[in-house]
Amino acid sequence: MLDVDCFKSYNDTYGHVAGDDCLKRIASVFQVTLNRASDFAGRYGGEEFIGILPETDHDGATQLAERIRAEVEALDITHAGSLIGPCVTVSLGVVTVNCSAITSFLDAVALADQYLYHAKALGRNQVCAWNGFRPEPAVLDGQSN
Amino acid sequence: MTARHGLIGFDFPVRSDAISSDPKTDNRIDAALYNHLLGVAAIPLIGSAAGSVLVATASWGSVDEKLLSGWLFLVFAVILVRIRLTQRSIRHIKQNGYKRVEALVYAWTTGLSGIAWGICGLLVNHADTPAKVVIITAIQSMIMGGVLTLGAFLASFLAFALPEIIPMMVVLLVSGGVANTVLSIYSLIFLVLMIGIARRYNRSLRQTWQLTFDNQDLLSALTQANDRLAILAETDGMTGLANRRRIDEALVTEFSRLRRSNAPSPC
Repeated sequence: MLDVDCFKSYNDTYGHVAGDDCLKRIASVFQVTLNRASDFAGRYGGEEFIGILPETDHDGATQLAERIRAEVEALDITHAGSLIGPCVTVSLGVVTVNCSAITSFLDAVALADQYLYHAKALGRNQVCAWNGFRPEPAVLDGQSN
Repeated sequence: MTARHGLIGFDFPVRSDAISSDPKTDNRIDAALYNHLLGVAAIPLIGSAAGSVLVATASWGSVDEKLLSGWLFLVFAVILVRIRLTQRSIRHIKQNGYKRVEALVYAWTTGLSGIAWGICGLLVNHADTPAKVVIITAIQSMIMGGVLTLGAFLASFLAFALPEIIPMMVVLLVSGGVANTVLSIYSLIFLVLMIGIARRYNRSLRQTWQLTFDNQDLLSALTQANDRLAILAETDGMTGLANRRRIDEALVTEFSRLRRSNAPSPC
């Protein structure tokens, strides 16, 4: 799961047309990176995107998330209101679904969301991942943005 | 909104807005009717063969036998020529599709049968009364049959009917006598009525095909619109990525697939 860092302040600073344009460019990076036929890329809502990578191990998924993070940073979209740096960045939460640990896709989405906010809490512009095996992760404190 | 379609004294009010004014649809209807004409082409030919043998049998003895034999020969020669022309036209429409000029040329070749039967009408005054009745009835029956088989393509019907009956009408009229004049006038009334019926029949066929094509067009437009809507319904309009609805579907699908294969899938 991917969320654009400080996107509200981007919209406030540059307007909604520029905000839409920014989201389109990030969506394009997201889609191009998830390039296998079985990969799935979608917009979950607002500035949140979700990717499903069937038949992918934890390391593969984490690397891919890191690549998306780096490529969005490389787009170098100026973001004066960002708390992180001069340009638009994204945070990602990665969850490897293992049958024994996660029984419903709602759990998977909720967990990915938790790890995404953990990444935000750790300072944004980073990937936070869980390998899907027990013990289940402790509830992470994150701060939404 | 109505328009008058018909002939002198036999006008039928017909809804004109029921028939397309779109030349492309008209062409499709013409093609369908031409196919119809070719499809039933055997029936008038069989009718012509059987009718000519019956007329010759009934008139044998009262009409000069050489004339009758010559006429029979002509009718059967025309039937053979028309069989060949029909086969050729069926081959052409299969290879090249519908061509208006070709269809009209084929339709007018029906006139060969009309001329052959028209010559029979010239013999009407050579026959004794029973044979005369047979000839007049045969000529009129051929036109009635023509309404059903050639009426699909009016050019074909007219090419047959006019040369078929007019010589007989002229012969009866010029030969004088009240009975002959009345027979001639009756034949004229009959011809006008039959043309009217052929036109109505043709119009019904056109409307049927029009509805068929309208339904086909509507169905394909609906299918296209539906396909487009199906894509729109699961696409995020701004980014072109899958939308929330599609994501939820994909998650359900992936989870049930995962449960079967038990392989790891990161989310």
